This record gives sequence, C-alpha cells and structure tokens, in this order.
Amino acid sequence: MSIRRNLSVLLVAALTLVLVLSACSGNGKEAGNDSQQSAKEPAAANAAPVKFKVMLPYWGDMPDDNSPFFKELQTIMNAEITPVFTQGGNSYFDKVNVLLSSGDLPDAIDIPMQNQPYTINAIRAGAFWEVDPYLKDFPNLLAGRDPDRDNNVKVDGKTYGVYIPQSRARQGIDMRQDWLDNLGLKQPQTIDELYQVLKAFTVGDPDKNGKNDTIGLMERLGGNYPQGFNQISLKYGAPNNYAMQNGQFIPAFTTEAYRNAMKFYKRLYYEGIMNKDFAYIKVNQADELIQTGKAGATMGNADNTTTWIPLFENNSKAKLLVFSTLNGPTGNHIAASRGYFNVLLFPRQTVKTEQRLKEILGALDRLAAPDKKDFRQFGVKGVHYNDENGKKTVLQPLENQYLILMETLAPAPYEMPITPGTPDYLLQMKKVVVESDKSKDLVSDPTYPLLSETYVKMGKELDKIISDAVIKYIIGEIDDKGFDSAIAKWKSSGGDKVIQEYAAAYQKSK
Amino acid sequence: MSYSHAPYNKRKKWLRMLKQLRTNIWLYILVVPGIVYFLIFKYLPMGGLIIAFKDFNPFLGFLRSPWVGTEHFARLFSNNDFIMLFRNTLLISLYKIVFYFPVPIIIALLLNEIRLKLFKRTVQTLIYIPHFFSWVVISGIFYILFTTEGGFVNHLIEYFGGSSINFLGSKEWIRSLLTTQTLWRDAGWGTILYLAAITTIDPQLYEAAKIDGAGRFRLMWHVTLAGMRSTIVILLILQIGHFMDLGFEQIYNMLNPLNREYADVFDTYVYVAGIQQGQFSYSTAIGMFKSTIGLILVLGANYLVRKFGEEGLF
Repeated sequence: MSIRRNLSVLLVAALTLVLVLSACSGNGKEAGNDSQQSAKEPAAANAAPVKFKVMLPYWGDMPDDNSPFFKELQTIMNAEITPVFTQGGNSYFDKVNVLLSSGDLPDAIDIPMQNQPYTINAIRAGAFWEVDPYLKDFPNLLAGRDPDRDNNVKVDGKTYGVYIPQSRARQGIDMRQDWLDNLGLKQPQTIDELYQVLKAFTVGDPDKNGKNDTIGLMERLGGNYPQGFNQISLKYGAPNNYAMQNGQFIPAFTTEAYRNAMKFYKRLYYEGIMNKDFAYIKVNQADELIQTGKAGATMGNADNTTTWIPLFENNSKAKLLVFSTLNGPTGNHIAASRGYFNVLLFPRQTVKTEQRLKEILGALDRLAAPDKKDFRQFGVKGVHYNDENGKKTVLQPLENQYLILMETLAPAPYEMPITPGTPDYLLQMKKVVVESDKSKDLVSDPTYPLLSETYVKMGKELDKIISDAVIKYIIGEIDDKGFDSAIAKWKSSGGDKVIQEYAAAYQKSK
Repeated sequence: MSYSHAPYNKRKKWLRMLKQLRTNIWLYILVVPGIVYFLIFKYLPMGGLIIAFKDFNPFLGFLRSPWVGTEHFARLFSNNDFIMLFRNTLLISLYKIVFYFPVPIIIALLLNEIRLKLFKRTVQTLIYIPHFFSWVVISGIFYILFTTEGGFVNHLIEYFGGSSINFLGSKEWIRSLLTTQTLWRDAGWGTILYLAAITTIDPQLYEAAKIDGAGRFRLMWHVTLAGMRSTIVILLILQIGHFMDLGFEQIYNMLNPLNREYADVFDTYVYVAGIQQGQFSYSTAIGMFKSTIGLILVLGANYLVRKFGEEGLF
C-alpha cells in the first residue's frame, strides 16, 4: 500500500519535473525566425520583385531587416527577401547540416566552406542546382569569378554555387608596435627574429610598468590547431596541407618543416612566451589577454578585429603592427585559402524551375553590379555617406553587421572596403589582407579541387588524430616517436586511402 | 462447469471494464495526451532506426536509401578508438553512480532533519539554483577556477607552497572534474524526488519508533531511509539505464586534445564522426548500440532488484 502511494507521489513529482524542464528549454531555439515582412517598397523596375528566402550566417550583431540598408538592398535587388539569419561559427555548420537532412530548405542557402563532407554528400545526391549553364546571362556574377577560385569551388568538375570572393590569404601576425618601440625593436624579418621579439615581450617589460606581467603571444585553438600554427609551419617551408610530387600526395605533417614548427611552438610553451592554457582557453578569455594588455601578439587572421578593436578603443597609446611576410629557411610562404568562404547554393527542392533560378540569380546579379560598389562599401547614400563630385564624406560608418552581410550575399569581385576616416590599425589589417591576395608567395593546397571519399566520410576523425598529436607534442606529452606513431595511426585509420584517392582523383582530372 | 461458465465470465469481465471506463471516463481522457505524446515522439521515431542498416541519404529518403546491412556496426566495432570510448563511457558512468548517486539521498536525509522550516526552504532553493546553469557557463566557471594561468585553485595551491596542477589540460583529472561538476550542478536538484518520497512516510511509524526508544539517528536509519528505499531502488535502475548516455554538452565543453584520451565518450564521438560529417546512418548505429546496452542494463538491474525482494520497475 505504502509503496503504491510512494510510487504515485514519485510519478507526480517526476511529471512536475518534466514540465518544469520542458518549460525551461522551450525558449532556446528561436534563432533567426523573425522574418517580419517589411513594408513593401514600390519596386523601381517594371518587373515584380523576386520573392525568396535565404539562410545567411552573421557574426556579432544580427542585421535588422527593417533598417534603411536592408530596404535599399531589396530595392537594388528588386527582391523581397526573407532572411533567415543564423549565428555563424560551428553551430552554423551544424544547423545547415540538420537543415539538409530535414529537407525543409530555403530558396538559397549560404554555406560556408562548401567542400565540407555534408555538403558534398548533399550535392552528390542532387540536392542543388548546377549553376554553370546559367551564369552566362549574368555579367556581374561572372565578373566576380576567376579561374583559380572556380577551380576550387568545383565538385566532381561542376560548379554548384555562387561564391562570394574573399582574400586568398587572411593570415598574418598582429603585434603591439608601441611595445616594439618601448623595447627599441623592429619588425621581425625572420622566424628567429620573431622568437626574439616575442621573448622580449615576455621578459623585457614592454609595457614599462616595472612588473614582469606580460607574455609575448596569445594563443588559442582555432580549428583544433593553435591559431598561428599553420602559418608558422608554412614559414618553415611545410606545404599547405599537402604537397604534390609526381602525382603523389604528401601530407604536410610528415615533413621535417612541420616538425620544426612544432619545435618552435614547444619552445614558446616551455619558455612561457605564450599562455600555457592555450589548449583549453575559451575564446573570450584569450581575447582578454590582448585587450587587457597582457599579451603582445596574435598569429591568426590578420584582420581579426574582434580581438583587437577593444584594446585600441580603451588604450589610446596602443599601436598596431600587422604583417604577413616572414622569412623562413626557404623564404616567405603564405597559405592560400580557397579564396572564398561563403557559397550560395540553390536547393532543387524549393527552387523548382529554371525560370525561378534565373530570377534569383538575376537579383544577386543586380546586387553585384559595379555601380553598386558604393552601396556595398559605404551603405545608403544620404544615410551613411554623402557624395559631392566624387568626394565622399561618411555620415555614419556602415555597421559591421551589414559589411558582413555583403560578405555573405554580394558575389562581387573581391574588394576591401576602405571608408574615409578608418582608424590606422584597421587600415593596416585590411592592407595586409589585400596585399596577401596578390602575393607571389602564396602556396595553394593541391587537394582543393579534388575529392576523397574516405575524407568525406571520416575526415574529421582523421584530422583529430594529427591535431591532438601536435598539441601533445607542443606541451611535451609526446616526443618525436609519439608523433610518428600518431602518423602511423592516421595512415592505418584511413589516411593511406585518403592519399591514394587524392592521387587517383588528380590523375582523372588531368 | 467451466465449459458453460467461460463465455459468461468473459462477458462479465468486458462489462465490468466498460462500466469502469464509463465511471472514470474523464481520468482516461486525461491520460490520452500523454499516450499520444509517447506514441508520436517516442515510438514513431523508432521507425527511423532502419537507417542504421542503410546508407541514409536525406534526398533519397528513408525508403529509397540503399541497404547496407550491418556495415555501420562493423565500422564502429573495428574503430581504433572503440575500446577507449567504451572504457571512458563505463568509467565516467561508474564514477557518477559511486560518487554522485548517494549524495542527493544524504542531502535529503539531512534536510529532513532540519526543524526550522524557513531555513530548510532557503537551503533547498539555494541548492537547486546550480541546476539551471548551462554547461557552457559551468565550464567557463571551471576554467576560471582551475586554469594554470592565474586560476583561483592554483593560486591557493601555490600560496600554501604546492606547485600548480594542470587540472584542465591533463587526462588524469578530467573524470574527477566531470564528477565534481555533476555533483555541484545536480546534487541539490536530485533531492526533490527523495524529499517527495519522505513526505509519504506515515508519521505514526515515527511515533511508534519513538515509543520503542529510537533516537534521531535510529529514526533516520530505520524509518526515513527504509521508507525511501523503493524510490532509491527505482532511481538507481533508471540511472543504470542511462549508463551509456553521459550527456553531450558537459563533456564536449570540457574536452580538449590533452584529456580526450580519458574523456571522449560515445556522445562526443557521435558529434564529430556523425553529425559534423553528415554520417546519419553511422550516428544512428552508434545510438542504437548505446540504447541496446542501456536496455540490457535496465532489464538486468530490474531482474536483480526483484530477486532481492524489492519492487522493480516492471
């Protein structure tokens, strides 16, 4: 009897618990669902506005689809856009992935790094339109393309998306110029000089406060590796992911240069030149090291504004030095990326006819028009800037979220907006990124246009074997022998197959 | 005799059921949403398990994706890391049962002994609060406490002359940290069911025990704890059923290359190998493997419990 009563009380309690829990978790998943139809602008063109729904990532603040900028955007495109803004980063990948599997797709979907396994799977299953045959009617879209990037975006030899060009190389080294000045040092030209500078930042009291409270380098994981590791390994002469010799593919991590880069990092770690908790530090706490003046340099994306801007806003004495040229044993090398990050894909499920596809491409074409460059870079005339006989004055700088919106939606040729009155540190960042795009030292990854079935299936698992080993090597948990066995594990877990498949794919593409 | 009575009895039984249904009709209607919920959200999706045996492609759908038999299971069992994942899952679960499970019971017993109602309520509310912290926040707090770069705990250790310990970046500490986090977050919340169980204990039992000369400790041991026994057993069975699900969020937020060897579990592996790569069939196969083990454990625990004369789940 008492057990029965016990049970029923228990059940009631459990039920209450479930109710409370479900009530608590109910309000967490409404991201990007506030697509109020904005008031219809009278369309300038004769044709009726193209209506379409597009999923886009954003970083920082979410763009407001009722803002003057967004309204102007719709007028230019002659479109009624229902944006689904979704927080960028890893969670965006997950959401795209889930979206693809759910089949509930928008008309256009912005996919970062189109060559991720899940997108390849969807493309091969015929989920998206092949755009090549249609592009010839859209001169502005064609103007944004170039053979190099075209080659990288292809899947099985065909183009499935409209990419938004970006600089081929964003990597660089950002450091405190005022610290260099305080110590009487100059911009490092070689890897060894870089080490000397970082060391001096650590032990030489670069902030002149009389205390030994600084470190040279802020380091954290980005894509499972220390942020600057790829850059340093290239400076040492390692290939960009793979080197190709006589049709054979050699992974970067099997080279001597790669190991030298690990040793460089190991030295920084052991001498306390970088923060020792780099393997698990959270992004915000890592950024704080820069922003509070505890660390003097970063080696990630040269234009990593979110890390650096707060420092300059709070500390008027702080000055920045940005560079991407650093000589290693075989000269300067810069890793070339694919040259784009965001690719717009058009699902066949929602975009049912060729006609509809052409309408949407047309809207994008209008946005990419050369005479809309001012809009893309400065914003709305009369709101963001004024133009008197070609002399532009900025009334109000275009908010960052709209610049990012253009980077995800406007397939215009790569151009770096430089608005009048941009602070010096931002100009430097942008200059390095623009120059790197055309640098003669770019090293491309020969596997960009190739596909490996095994990599598509288990690439992330394989990558993890190596990235974990790199970090263990840096902190001294494993030695050269341990790293060799990690390589052996990579090979036996499927790495050997990956190499063979790349070689086969390369033979086929020749 | 029995021959002639059987149809009559059967009919009578039906009638009785119908009558019961009619008198309690509203109670049954109350149950309907619950049943519908379980059918739609728990039983219907089980049909999706077939993709564990197919090479699922969302654009072909459940039915048209090709069959591949047990290929995905073979991939899981032949994986280099399978033993590691299995070991980590078992050990972390074991830690939770040994170190976490008894704590809410003890707290509930202690709370029950508090006379001052206001104090008891305040304490209860305070220890429930951590439950509402997300794991992201908790891992942030743990970072600030335990980092080697000026973390509170290492400061303390150094102050007392020790040398700092790399709690977050070493595999030796990760399981203890995970257990500590669970304790901090959920021990208070876990007392709710036990406190509810305690309220059902007949006060006369206490009076009788007092007359027999039992002190406070004896009352706690022979009456309170004895009265909670069936609740404890049921929760233990449920906990054992969740042996393989450690929850993705907590471990994922604490995981880094330096402790992966001791903390990577099936839930985190599924995220990397399955979700991030769009390998839905493989993920489903892993999920199915986990659930099967969970089911075996629940049935086993239930069997044992009944054998020892307790009332099990079923």
